[in-house]
Amino acid sequence: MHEFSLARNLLEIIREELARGGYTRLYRARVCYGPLSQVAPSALRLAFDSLAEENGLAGAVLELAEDPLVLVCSFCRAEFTPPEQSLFAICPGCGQEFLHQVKSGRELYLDRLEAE
Amino acid sequence: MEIEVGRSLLEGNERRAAELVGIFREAGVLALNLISSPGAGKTSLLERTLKDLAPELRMAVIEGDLQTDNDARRVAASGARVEQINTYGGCHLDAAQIHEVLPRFDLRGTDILFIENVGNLVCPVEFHCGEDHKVALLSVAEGDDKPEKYPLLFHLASVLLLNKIDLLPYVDFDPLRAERFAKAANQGLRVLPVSCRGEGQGLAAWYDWLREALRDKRR
Repeated sequence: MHEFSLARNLLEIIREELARGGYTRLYRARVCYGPLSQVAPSALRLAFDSLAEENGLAGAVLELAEDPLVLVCSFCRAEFTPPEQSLFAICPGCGQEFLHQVKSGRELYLDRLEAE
Repeated sequence: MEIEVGRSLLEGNERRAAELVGIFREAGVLALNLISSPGAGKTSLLERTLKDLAPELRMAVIEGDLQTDNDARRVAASGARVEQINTYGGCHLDAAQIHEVLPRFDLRGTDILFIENVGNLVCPVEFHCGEDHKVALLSVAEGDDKPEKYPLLFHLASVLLLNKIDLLPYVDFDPLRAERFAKAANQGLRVLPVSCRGEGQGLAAWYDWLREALRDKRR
């Protein structure tokens, strides 16, 4: 349950971005996360809703989008997105199940805002 | 109006962690972040390590707990400098909390700073505390499928201590299975089976790892 800390950071970034552009009303925030980012979307949403209200941004919608996991096989260097979204996945290039590197899939970022 | 942002939710912590890295580098302190489930034996490992290595290394501890200073008191009995952080519900330590207690340590007079994180295999992994290495602990009482279920910690740790191996005759824990999946997540992972009771089986290898990590840090 580290989603509350994450939501607090998210609100801090949103407040900065709104102030920078002189916006006062937030309609939507889009957050992208990788399958290995260890974030529970429902918990993040719950924390966001409660903190948005405290920050005078009630009604803003949090849109969560999952990015694909991209692994690189340590043996044949093939890049692939496993259907099971797991670090332990069979490489379509050479059949190796283990020792893949994570090219993307750990990220967690505020992608864009809709505000005025 | 659409506004492109592209900022990580962890950027604040990453920035503060980078400052800690600089502070530890400057002082020549090896910082280690101990991460495990509750009850895997982090505090017992520290008690034993602080006692056994006291004659050769200057060690200090930051204790992270939801509540109580029970662990801090146990660790302080060894004579090491220890500071408690109570998170009161927070499931992990973060770089800001480390910053806050750091002035209470004499870093120039410290070789190794152990950060005992809150017992949790998920959340602490996301928050860098400026450490040189994450040290993962897994006790044989927990089940050998933990590396399969929680791969990220094992993917990022430098060393995995398989603790409580004195209990192996009494539990259905296959050390090879645990090691296989942990190493599958991380090619460079060192796996060290240890027991913190009795003669301290395997601890010599852990102490060698600490000495080597400190040498590397100061090279």
